[in-house]
Amino acid sequence: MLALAVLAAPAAAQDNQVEVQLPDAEDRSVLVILDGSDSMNEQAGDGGTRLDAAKSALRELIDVVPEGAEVGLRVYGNKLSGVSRAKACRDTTLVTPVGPLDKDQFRSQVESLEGKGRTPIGRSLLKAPDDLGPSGDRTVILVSDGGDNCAPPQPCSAARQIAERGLELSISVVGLQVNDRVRRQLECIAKAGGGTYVDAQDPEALKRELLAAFARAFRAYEATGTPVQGTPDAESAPTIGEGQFLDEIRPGETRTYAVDVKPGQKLFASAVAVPERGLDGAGGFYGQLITPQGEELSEQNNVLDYNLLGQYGNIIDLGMRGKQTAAPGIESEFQPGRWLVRLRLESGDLEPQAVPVELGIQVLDPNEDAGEAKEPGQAATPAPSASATPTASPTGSDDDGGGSGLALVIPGVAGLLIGLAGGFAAMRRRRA
Amino acid sequence: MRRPPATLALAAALALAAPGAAGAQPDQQGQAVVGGGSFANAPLLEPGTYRDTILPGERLYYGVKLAAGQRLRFRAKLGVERGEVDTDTAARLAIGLQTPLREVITDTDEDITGNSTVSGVDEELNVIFPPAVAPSATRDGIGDYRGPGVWYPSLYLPTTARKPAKVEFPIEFELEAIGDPQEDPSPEPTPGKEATAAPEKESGDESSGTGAGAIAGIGLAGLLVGLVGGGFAARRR
Repeated sequence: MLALAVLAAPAAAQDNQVEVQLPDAEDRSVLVILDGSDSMNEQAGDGGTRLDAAKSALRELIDVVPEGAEVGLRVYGNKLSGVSRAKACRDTTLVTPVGPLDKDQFRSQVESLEGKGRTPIGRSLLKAPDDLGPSGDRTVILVSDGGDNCAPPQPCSAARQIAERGLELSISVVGLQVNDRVRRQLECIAKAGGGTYVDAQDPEALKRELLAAFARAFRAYEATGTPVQGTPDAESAPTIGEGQFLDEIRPGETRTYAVDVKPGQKLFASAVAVPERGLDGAGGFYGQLITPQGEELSEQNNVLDYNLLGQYGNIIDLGMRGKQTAAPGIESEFQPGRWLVRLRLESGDLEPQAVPVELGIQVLDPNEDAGEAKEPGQAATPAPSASATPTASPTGSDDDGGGSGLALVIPGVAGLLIGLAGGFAAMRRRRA
Repeated sequence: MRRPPATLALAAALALAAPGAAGAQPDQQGQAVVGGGSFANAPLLEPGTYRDTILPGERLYYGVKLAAGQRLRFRAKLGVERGEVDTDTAARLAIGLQTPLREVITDTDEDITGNSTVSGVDEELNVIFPPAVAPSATRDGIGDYRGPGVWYPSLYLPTTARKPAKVEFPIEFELEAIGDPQEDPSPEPTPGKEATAAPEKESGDESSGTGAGAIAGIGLAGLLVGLVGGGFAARRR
């Protein structure tokens, strides 16, 4: 999973921070094209230059991008000044080839950038497809404070030409303190390149927009959670806690998980099937809670239909709700203890391929609101073997507290016996 | 196949930009946000106005907390004009809502758009969903869970293409929680004081600490009773 922090007005935004986790992004790459022309030496309004602002934004990007992410950097106008127009317009350099990111190297390359020459945007864009390679989901993020002054090639035509070369390449643009004329040109590039244009009027906005563009480049649905393997039968089901778990289920399979529910609590569970696109067939996806007494609560179901999924990029969800369990002062027909979550994917005519399933578990106290259950869940513990001696295991038992009662009696009796023996011994010694 | 490395959860400091504030273009409404590609990545948002981008075939998830009695109003529109984009694709923009248990809500309280959840390019989706109900109203366990908690509004752009062209559409949306939170008229009972296993969220350490204390206390009490009893029995001899 690739994780990157980006913007939002988060609920807990007191420190203006929010964390967005990005999923694994196989076969994706990003090329940042940065303006290194002379105009980048102008003041950005925060005491530094525009190039300083761009460096700062890139530093932040480097900090949040995982080592090894496929990132490259091309800079134009940063090498030549005081040369002929023809020469200056050839000044575009692939500073960091697209590949697994070496942060230290990238950082030092960014730090050494200087604003010098002209703005050959079109020429730089035309080199992007070769920089990014012929396949995969590729994104260009152009950051510029000015319009192209080296045409031909016209930058908008160049963007269109690139977009036509591959379905999976888009060009997004961040304009740094640009005027209307330049904005129109940059907007044209973004539209022709299948991307979007945003303005950044100050260094903070530049940072934010660059991070956002980067985060979007890696966004996809990828099932996440603590790995767990449910079992066909209840007896060997792994015991799991709260949070999000990840398993997979094949057509025709049943998966069972155990969850300990204490007196007065209730169990909520969700199951999200995340099938791949491009498969065929349809089949029912079922989910059910089972009480410690073996009572099966009403089964939830949804249809996993690859044809619909293909259209809607969809996922299939099930929600399962247990009821409040009995406790002193709480009357309930449902007992605390080892509850089960059972999932089933019917064969239907589904392709026999494993489907990832996110399992969300919430064990709620009385009157507690349902939360998100998206943090990785507590690791599963193996099911107790049938021959194991009963103990006060925190995984609970069907008799609700029988094990813990035994755990309290044993030390009491032991203490009593030791005390009796000690009392006898003391009195004997006295008499002797 | 190329693949980035394993998870790194990182945070970046971000200046909150109010709509129209410095840094926002006059026609850029709302604050930049990156919707999650999945529930696990959905940013938890306060009511407000936001902007994001969406690709054909993509579905973006956000989280918003709703208290009992509150309805979610969800407005969204593409930040493009007719003729600028692939109109057929753009006109399929839809919004959705999923419950705290991630179940899809298929009904609306009020569909101001008038055409369910699908809009034309220059139309605005404007839907008010049914209210979150008090937890006591969900206790029958029937149907979707519609109680308070984190709900998931989503935006999606369906496409019939198996491998759609990569074209980003800017999108603006607004989330509004309508109504004041309401008390649950019939809250769940809480366990009595005599309960030996209080249903409190606790870490494994705390739990074992409490259990160990109880066991030690009972053992000590047994020891004292045994000592007194043993002494008494020996005296009688």
